Amino acid sequence: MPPRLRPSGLPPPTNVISEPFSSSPLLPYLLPLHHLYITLPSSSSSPSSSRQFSTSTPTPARVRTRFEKTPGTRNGFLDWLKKFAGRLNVPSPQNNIPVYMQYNKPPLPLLKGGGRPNAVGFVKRPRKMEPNLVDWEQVAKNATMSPFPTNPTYKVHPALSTEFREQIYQRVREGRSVRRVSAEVNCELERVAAVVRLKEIERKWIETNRPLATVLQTRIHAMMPISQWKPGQPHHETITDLRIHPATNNQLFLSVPESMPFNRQDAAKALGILPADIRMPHSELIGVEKMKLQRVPVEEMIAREAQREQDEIAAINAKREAVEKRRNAGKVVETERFRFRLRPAVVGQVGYRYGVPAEDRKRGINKIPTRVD
Amino acid sequence: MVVRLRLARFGARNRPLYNIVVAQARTARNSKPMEVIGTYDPIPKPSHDGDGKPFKDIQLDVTRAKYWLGVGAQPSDPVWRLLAMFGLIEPQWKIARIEAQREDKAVYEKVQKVKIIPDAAAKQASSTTANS
Amino acid sequence: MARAKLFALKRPYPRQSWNKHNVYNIFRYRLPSTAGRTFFQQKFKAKQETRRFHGEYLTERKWNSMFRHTLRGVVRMNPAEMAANDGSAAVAGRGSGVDVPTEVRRTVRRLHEPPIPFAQMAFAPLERRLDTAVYRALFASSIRQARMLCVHGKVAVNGVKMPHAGYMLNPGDMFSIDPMVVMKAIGQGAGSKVYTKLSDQAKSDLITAIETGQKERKSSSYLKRDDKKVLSGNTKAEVEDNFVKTSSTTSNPESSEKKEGDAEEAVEESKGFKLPPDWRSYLPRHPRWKLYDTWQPRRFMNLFAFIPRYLEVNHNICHAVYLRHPVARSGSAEIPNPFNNETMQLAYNWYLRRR
Repeated sequence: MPPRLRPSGLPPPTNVISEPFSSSPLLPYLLPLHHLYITLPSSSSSPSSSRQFSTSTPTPARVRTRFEKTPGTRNGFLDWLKKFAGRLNVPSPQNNIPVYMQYNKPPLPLLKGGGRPNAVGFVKRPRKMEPNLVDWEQVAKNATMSPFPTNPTYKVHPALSTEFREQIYQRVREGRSVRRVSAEVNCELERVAAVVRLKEIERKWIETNRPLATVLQTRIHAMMPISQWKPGQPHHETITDLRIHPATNNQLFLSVPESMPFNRQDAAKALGILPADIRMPHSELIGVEKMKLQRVPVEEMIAREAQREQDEIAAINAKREAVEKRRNAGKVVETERFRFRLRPAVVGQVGYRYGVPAEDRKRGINKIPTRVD
Repeated sequence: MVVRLRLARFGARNRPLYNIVVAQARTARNSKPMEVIGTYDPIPKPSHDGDGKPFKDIQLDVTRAKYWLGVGAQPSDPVWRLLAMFGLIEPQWKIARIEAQREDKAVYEKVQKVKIIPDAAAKQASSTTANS
Repeated sequence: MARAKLFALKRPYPRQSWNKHNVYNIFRYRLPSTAGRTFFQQKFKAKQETRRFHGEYLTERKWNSMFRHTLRGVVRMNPAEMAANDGSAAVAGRGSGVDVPTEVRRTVRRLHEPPIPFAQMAFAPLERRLDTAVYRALFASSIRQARMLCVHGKVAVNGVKMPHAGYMLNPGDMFSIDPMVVMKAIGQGAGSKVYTKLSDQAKSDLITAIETGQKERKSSSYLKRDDKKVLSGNTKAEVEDNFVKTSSTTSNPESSEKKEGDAEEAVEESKGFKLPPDWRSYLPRHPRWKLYDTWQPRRFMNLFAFIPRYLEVNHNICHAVYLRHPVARSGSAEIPNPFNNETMQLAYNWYLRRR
């Protein structure tokens, strides 16, 4: 029997909630007031509203077959291009409203008083659409985030705005840890690290007067949804996404006494994996929540969190130093062009192979490197 | 037959990696040596800080190298250069030597002054080799 | 030859490209129907359709070796909930959770999140490929162009040139392309048109950049070659002479009104300045470089302008980081494609090789 896909009918795990959850307001940096573990489902996520933007009836099938069956297919395409393609580029400069595959006539909602009512009372749409007459907020609300009309499961996730990135970078430069900044701005750990890495390169480019492709950046951002920086409540994505462990895909039969409690730790032990409380990114938030439940005083909470963070940083630094030490073991001899790193070695453990056939040029051996350091 | 300290080429085309080996002088380059005492990677790798000089890695079992030098193993020219960096022998200056033979005294003195590593260990090592 | 096949108008197949014909084809594309087909036929058809979109330039053998039956997914966790209980309530009772009144269960069900579309992850291994990532990061206008950029050595991974389009990115890998190349690749028109409309400022900047660059290079190269030559009056005079010559030509006030054309022509015509063959190499040094000003995105780019969540892209410098492998989460998957779950499920089942 093939491994089955996860049955969609099963209820989701109990510890997933669908409501916004705000954490302690008293730990300004560790746990900001605005901290959302869960985003509200957007209006576009419900299937009914996914095609809300196109109110006119979809193109009937026979029109489509005309293109396919008429010998002059190319003419058919040109007709289509004239008819629809001009409207594909609906400008949305202000609010980063994507126009993913809006094939039908865009019924851009107008602001109140945008059109002029005629004698009967109907609002007449202006012949030429002025950008300042359009209700862009409404457009953004109605915009479908699915670029492909036939696949509603692919939703476009907004990209970080340049200001958002700058804020992240500044925070890390101040000396805050990536983990802390990640929790602060509601942005995945890896993303925060990547943003800092990229910003560092950008800074180097600026320092060496290398021109930045800012036009490219602004033009592209104008076309896609963007997570804008909101000073009070920055939010980009959920930060506590737990990777589903492959071991949990298979069924496991285990007899457990009915009277005995069986918790997450026991389940993890039975499956032979680490419990979710450890595997989850930002698992330290569980500890904070526990302290809140125990009504630990705020000062104490802050002190404990600061201690935890300090320990973490110390551990990381120790590890980094060890690596650095290993790397720099031995002497360095500098010549005019090169630096020779002399390292001690032990006979028996050093050197390349003897008596093993070299297969690197053999047919069928993958010559593409698997990693670049 | 002479025992030599020399390089044995490994790696691939355009990507050499060398073993520093102890072998009989007349055996084939890549034949099984008496002992492998280190490696040498001649391809310069960019430095970590980005601006510094590119670096090359040399690994060597110093005690075994000293032993083999002590029993009269003869380093080849490239290995001589590498061993000199570890301070096991005096640097070998081919051109300088030739010029010195021409009684160009100034150059000879200049060469004498140059020491790659002004290191106590180096001096000691060189003195031990000289003694043996 | 390949082009005609890729965007055939007679039989529309969606492809990974911003080509106008492809836009049209995606518009009128209909998912394969399962009616009147046996299960095997359904799977075969689904495999056919999806493979035309995912890695159509790869042989089936190559893709088969990449296919993995494990599908990555994530679940959102709530730390507050996890702190409050240890999960034992979920398995209490007869092993299916504590009995809950029907009405409550109904409300809970209404709150249920949509299922995880695991089937959408069937082609996830392809997303690790370098060319796919380059296309997804909006550095190229089609997956084939992305592949071309890789093969031509324009793409670097962690700062090292990576000419293999099939390099499998590891989480944390950073790949980069020269912004100039990207602007050409996803800009309007082909080839050198990026350079067309030079503003007057840009023209003069270009000339200054080249002059200063040449001067620097000349002096530095002489320095390297021999100390003596630099010290002799000969070279010095040469550099000065050169400088005087070029500055006199640039100060020539004649006609800066020449409008469009290739940058080289534009500069040459307007200023009477002879561009050296390696003029592009002088560009990045100059701070006031405004050549990018008039860049226009390719037509229909707005329909494909989205970046999946597993990438973090900085278009200012055209660098991107592959954060992690793509995952599926409740209600959405991270791999953009025009196929619904049913089709993807059938295709996935085809590749399970147990048909």
